[in-house]
Amino acid sequence: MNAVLEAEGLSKRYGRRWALTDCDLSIPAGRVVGLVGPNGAGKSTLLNMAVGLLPPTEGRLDVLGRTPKAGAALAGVGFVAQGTPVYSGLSVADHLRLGKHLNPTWDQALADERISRLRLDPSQKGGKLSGGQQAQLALTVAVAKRPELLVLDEPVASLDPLARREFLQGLMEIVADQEVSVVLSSHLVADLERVCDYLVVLVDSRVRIAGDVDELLATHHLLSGPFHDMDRLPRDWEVIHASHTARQSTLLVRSDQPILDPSWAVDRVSMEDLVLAYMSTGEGTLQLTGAER
Amino acid sequence: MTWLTWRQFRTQALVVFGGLALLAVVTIITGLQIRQLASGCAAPTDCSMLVGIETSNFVWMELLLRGATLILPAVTGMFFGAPLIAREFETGTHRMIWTQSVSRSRWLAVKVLVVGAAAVLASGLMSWMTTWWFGPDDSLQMDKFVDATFGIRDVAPMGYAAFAFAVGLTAGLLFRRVLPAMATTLVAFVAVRMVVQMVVRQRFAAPLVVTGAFTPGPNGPKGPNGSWIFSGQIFDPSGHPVRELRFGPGDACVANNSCLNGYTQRFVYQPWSRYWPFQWTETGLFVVLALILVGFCFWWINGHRLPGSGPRVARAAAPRAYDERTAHDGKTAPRGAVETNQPRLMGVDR
Repeated sequence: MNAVLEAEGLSKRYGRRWALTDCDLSIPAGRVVGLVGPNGAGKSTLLNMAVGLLPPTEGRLDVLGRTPKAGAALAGVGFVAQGTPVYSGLSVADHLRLGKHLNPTWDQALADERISRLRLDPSQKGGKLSGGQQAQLALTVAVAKRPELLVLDEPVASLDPLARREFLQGLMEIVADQEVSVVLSSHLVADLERVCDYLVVLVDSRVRIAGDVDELLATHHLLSGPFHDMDRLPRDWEVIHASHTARQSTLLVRSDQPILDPSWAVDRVSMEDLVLAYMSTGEGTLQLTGAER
Repeated sequence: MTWLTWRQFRTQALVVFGGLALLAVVTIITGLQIRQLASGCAAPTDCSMLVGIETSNFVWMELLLRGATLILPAVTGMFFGAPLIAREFETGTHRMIWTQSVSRSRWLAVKVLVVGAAAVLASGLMSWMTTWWFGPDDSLQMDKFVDATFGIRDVAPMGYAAFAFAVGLTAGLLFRRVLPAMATTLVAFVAVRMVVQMVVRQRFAAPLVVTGAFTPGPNGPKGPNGSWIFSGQIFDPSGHPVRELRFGPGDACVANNSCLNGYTQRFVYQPWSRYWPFQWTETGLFVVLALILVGFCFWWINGHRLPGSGPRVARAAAPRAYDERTAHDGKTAPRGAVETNQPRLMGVDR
């Protein structure tokens, strides 16, 4: 299938600060994409550009085959903004009515069904809802638009663990029921681990790695063994992260080939290890734990 | 879109138009009473009852109407115009509303048409009430054209309302905060309104000049009827401007009342016939200013320097690069303390 989001040399500058630098990205359709990175890495910038809220400074960006234009109507893309804003003066029912009036593709049955399943009171004002309910309402408005692509910018960042779980469960149900691609950002890997099958790691305004989760996990290996000289490692290993003690080296290595050297104990990599390794630059104090815990 | 605009605007609209309705009731009752008094006097000069409006029982009503008509454009500018976009920015809801299947231009167009029209309508109704209420007084005193009164009669307040609304809209778009936008609206509107009233309006057309015999006293001519007089300079018989007229009982002319013979007065003025052209010119001027500002808002909202994404969050410390080997080379870590079977520690952020 075609890419739902394609970026080429995409950059964004606020004043003197580059929020996103030279971003090349191609996100295939039908996936649940996790966009991870520390706060300030450029996740929101990328997503806001994808929905036309921000114009790029440089580069090309195509979403669903169209270049998002600032100010234009956004068709085909549902967006849940950071902090999941809702109108505090409007009731839940008003929000649905708003969505119905502003979107020709609106699915009222879907919206009603979600609201009743979430046990939201339609007459309740947006400002009186809990954080989790506000997030669910924002998601409902975005989903009932029946988008091809659903973009969520840190939707669970401010939610408590229970609301977080419920929100992500709701999202998984939507993905299961509808043919929709999802791009979801978070600075916590744990949020994404359960829902995503495609991963993009954004660090310091650059894309560090992007790819299918299973593929990434299969090509990355966590090695531990006696202290090794870094210069003598096999050439086809890409060392993402290394930490050494006097006697031991722990490496996170990217290699398409299985690791055969018996001096290394090989562990499977967890998604969290992978992301943390890419988020920390090169060698460091980071201790990777492997997949089995 | 119209539904949403009305839904978000209805509280403000109810307050303003509800207030106007209450005021209308009082205006009609007192206005009819004034008309009864007015019908009792034949010649304008004889109508002491009406001239006494200012000192009569109606003085509170007069102050109320003058004040309300004067400030209503500023109020609607501050409470209709300023929050229109600024509140969306403040609550972050612009990121929800601008990502629906409706373009920003259309969203803004409906908002401006509905809310802006309401602002103009409110001031129009207010001015209509005031003009009607003051009708008998105005026709008696013929001072509708004079400075402050001009701006609270007939169509001019509608121009002011349109302009104040546009100032509020623009300030809200630029500041993205409701309170600073409201304050800016008040200051900018009052400043422009005062400059126009004191400097610009008198230049809409070259003033006329008329010279005639000078007749002092309350019954003497005050210049051309109903006109807006800038100066009424008195000249002595030899044609020199007079600063002060000084005659004493000792002067011979006092006896035969001929002291002022040969004195003339020169009026510089805008004639009453220019009242309506001036009303339309002033209204048009403010409407054009308003249209320029609204046009700017449409241009700006379509992607020109729109705000950064999201609330400003403190940048959390990313896992920091730290070369452990350097530490070991410097022998800062105790050798041998770490066994081959390195304990699995939790990573950063966990």
